[in-house]
Amino acid sequence: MLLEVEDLHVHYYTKRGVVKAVEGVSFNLDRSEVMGIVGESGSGKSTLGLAIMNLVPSPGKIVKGSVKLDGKDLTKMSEKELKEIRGKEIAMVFQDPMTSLDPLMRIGDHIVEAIMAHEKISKEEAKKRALELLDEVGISKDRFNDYPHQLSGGMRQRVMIAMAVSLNPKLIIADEPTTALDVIVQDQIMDLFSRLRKEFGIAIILISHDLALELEVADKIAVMYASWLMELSNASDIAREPLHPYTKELLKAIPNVELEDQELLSIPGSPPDLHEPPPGCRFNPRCLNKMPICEEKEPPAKIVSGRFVKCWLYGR
Amino acid sequence: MLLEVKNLKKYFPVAKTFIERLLTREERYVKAVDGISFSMEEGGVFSLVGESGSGKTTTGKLVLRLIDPTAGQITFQGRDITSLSQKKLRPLRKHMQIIYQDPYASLNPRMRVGEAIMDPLLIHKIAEGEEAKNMVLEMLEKVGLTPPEVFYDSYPAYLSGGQRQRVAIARAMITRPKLVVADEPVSMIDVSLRASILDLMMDLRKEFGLAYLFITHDLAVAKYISDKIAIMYLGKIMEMGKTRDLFRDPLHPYTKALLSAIPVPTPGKSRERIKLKGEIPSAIDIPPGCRFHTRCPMRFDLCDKEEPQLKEMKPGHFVACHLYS
Repeated sequence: MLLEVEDLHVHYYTKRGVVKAVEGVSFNLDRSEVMGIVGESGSGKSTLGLAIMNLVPSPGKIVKGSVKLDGKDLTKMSEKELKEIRGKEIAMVFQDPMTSLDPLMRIGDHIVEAIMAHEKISKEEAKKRALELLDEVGISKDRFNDYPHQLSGGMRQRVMIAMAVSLNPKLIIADEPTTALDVIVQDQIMDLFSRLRKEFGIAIILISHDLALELEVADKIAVMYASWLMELSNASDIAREPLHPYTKELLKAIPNVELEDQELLSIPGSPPDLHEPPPGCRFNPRCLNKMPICEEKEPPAKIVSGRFVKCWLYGR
Repeated sequence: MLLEVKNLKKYFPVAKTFIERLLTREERYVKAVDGISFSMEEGGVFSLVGESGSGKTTTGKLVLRLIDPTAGQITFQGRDITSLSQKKLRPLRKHMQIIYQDPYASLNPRMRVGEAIMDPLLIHKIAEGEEAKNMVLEMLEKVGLTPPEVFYDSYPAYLSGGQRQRVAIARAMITRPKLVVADEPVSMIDVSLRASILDLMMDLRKEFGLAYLFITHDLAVAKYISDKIAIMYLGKIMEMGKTRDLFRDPLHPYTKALLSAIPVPTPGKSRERIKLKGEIPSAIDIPPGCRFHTRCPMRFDLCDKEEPQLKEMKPGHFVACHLYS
């Protein structure tokens, strides 16, 4: 197993009180596997992504649980040890590449610098590798000397991906990497991800609000709601037979171009304020299958025919 | 006909550097909208769909005369408004409103919700005082912000994104417009709430008999709400038709590519995929001939030489592509 996340808890200590942004999340990820983490704003999906790299920004903190990469627990490592892991073994790609790229630095140099920060090779060799990487992600080599502003949003994201793969990481965490891009470019970036996993065996965690996208590209999907992992199973199982009422409702809320005369349903209410989450199940105020117990006690984590679900519908 | 747009163009001049100014007199332009024509009936929903840089948002602003067109004609309720002065436009403004994408930026944070919605009533001298307040309360109820008295006095900061967008909708609807331009109204709204905002817009359409010019990058959303759709690319309409025709029988290679790039929540289903290379070119250097030819998988020798015109293939179904000429 490449990555084992166990009972992870992340809290933010804000002026208004403690926000429990990730609560008791566990999952495993194999080499060259693609996992989707899907959720709405405030679900904790981005915090979870950062926590895997032990990069939760202050005032946030991992308060419990472990993140093991090849058996080594990242939550117990020193900052120095973590620096070795980040970039080299786990790389991250964010939604807005412009905030991660230095506007005064040529795109080729970004990649050269990323390589040289971790490997003791000559600048010439690093440059050769950078050129190969640009080619790999579909950018013409003669753009090596371009500045970030000379590239389109899609090309900048390709540069970010080139930097991410420059050190042959085992895992890439991509947080809404295509949300700012158009569908055709999104499709191209997804093809690129799928090639990276096939050619290099890289595992990918794709964080997105877009369940349709996740269903199309991920092997398995984790559904987050209000800091909880509500459901985790194969993408095909989730599409065919979602277990959690939230996943069921979410599937009815996304438009499908393949369907004629589709009736879209929205989920009544809105996600809870995490400063004051509702008692019992966090989804209970919006749930169509609510039972009395749902308002009283936190639902147990259940395994139903090999699939994870956190809901009282599936017994105690 | 509620709205008729003929050969509408908007060119933005490109700022030149000092050296360029010395070397050349030639002005360069971003051809954001480059000659489009369409019409809208009362009570209809017409979607402009395209990638960023396609000119869809500029078109929406032109139609409302929020910016001035470079060329072309806009006729609203039978009246040519292309070159009306802002003063003469004023009485028409209450019939044409806009809803923006970002409900966090479109509302004044210092204005209570009630005041924000009442504002257009005062500006257009439709009502004031108690009467205006009652109209606002009624509108709050209609857009689902209940109890209306509570929302009337609250500030936008205390509202969720979905609730803010309802306020923006209420504000657009309070003057009972005939045409509302909705520019990506749900793209910043959480997925679980999108349908409720779209359904609200459709309910209000029925109730007030208004029409939407709906601007979106999302074909799936456009399919859900529109009667008629135009696919835009680099400032031109590539294909236009009734929603049903466009999805059952897409004609333009670009439309087909867009459709095949949309993720569909049914895994394992193999679809005909049309992959495009590259990205939408700059609107400063529009490719000659068909502007899509640089990315078109179906291109042939005519495509980079002659620009295809929008042609009616079937009643109401238009396409601009040499494959069909």
